[in-house]
Amino acid sequence: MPTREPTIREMPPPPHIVGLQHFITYAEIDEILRSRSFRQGSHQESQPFFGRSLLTIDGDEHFERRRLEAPLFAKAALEYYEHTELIPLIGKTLEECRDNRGDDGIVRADLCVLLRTMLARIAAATTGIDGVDTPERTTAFREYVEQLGTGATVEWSTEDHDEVIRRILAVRDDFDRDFFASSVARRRALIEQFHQGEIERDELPVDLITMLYLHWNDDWDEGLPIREACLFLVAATQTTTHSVPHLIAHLDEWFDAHPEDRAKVTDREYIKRAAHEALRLHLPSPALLRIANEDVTLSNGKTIATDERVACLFTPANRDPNVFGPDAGEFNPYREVSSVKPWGLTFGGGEHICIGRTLVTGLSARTDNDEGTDGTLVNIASALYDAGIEIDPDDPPAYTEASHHDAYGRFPILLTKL
Amino acid sequence: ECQGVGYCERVAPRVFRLGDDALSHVIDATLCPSRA
Repeated sequence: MPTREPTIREMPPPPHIVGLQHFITYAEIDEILRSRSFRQGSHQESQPFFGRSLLTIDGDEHFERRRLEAPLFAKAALEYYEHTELIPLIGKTLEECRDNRGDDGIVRADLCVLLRTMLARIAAATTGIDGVDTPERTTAFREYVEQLGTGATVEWSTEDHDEVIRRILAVRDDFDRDFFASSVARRRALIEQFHQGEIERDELPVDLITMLYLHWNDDWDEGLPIREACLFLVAATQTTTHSVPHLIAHLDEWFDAHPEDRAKVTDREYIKRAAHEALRLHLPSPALLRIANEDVTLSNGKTIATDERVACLFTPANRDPNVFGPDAGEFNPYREVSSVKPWGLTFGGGEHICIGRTLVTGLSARTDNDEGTDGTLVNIASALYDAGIEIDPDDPPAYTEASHHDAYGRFPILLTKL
Repeated sequence: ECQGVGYCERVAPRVFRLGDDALSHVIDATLCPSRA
């Protein structure tokens, strides 16, 4: 049987943060992210994709943009996305897997591809992309989002960065032609009808594109909507596609060591705890950069000069034994942490904390004390266990070689109950 | 019948106040980045 790669790896810092001052403890990174003495310093190379998007603006401009987009993540909106756009497509995607039954009667699939298909509708719904409604269009859309994600994280790419930017900007032009332009045109026509009094406000779609054109700011350039839309499409899918394979790999190991827990795959609270551990240990954004607005001395005495760019390394911070206990580097679904969120810094911190966090963790995360949604991770993982997911013993998962991320490139699975 | 960003105070100043401890406090705001 082929050997499987380890679930926990030591990842060297990527080239784009070499030479910067690194911060690796939970406390100092938390202090930097919350501080008003710093501004966004990440995504310098990916400006063609994210320039002046929510991710790269600060201060009043950030407040106004976040205020404009916040309704997309209100409780009612999250419930709609989960129950109307996510859960049905999870079931449909698994149903379509039956077509991949081998001669031995077993259904096989690549989990990395499955996940992007399952998330296609929820990404399209939050962003406002029409026409993701047939298997062919869903496949085309899924492939666009995957490629746009390569551009969005160009800093982490192992390819020539200029070539990646050139290639993905051309892909974005194709995406504009095939999906984006018609989606914008339909919404602008509806907004015009609203302004003419022909339709009511609540007849307008609740999605990013509608919000941007309904509240258009003349300071924006005409390319901003597609940059903001690409950010949403990538952000709506990236954390889940990154984390679910890690979750499955960890639970597979955990069940080997703790066979008494195997029956708990039907317990959504157990899956939620395990998902939080997978999020903590494997970060979709393992490092973020910040620039000091002034000379700063942190609580621990470390100093940062005005305009100095520093790197916050989330992976070691999320394995900080002072916060997560002496076994912080290990996966443990029974871990109890009292002073921080169970996923640590995975969604960032301060004003740039991930706007879509509740899409992933749901509003009933342990620290939310709220009924409502379970989020993408729990819904997808639970459905996979219901379908009898097993890691293919003859074709073990492989990490990606296209980037410095701690991510799987392929994750062959069996679905034994389909 | 919290990251201390302070956006809650900007939209509901009669209910929230950002304290000297860099945390928002209820003195009697979907927008909160940390949904706290």
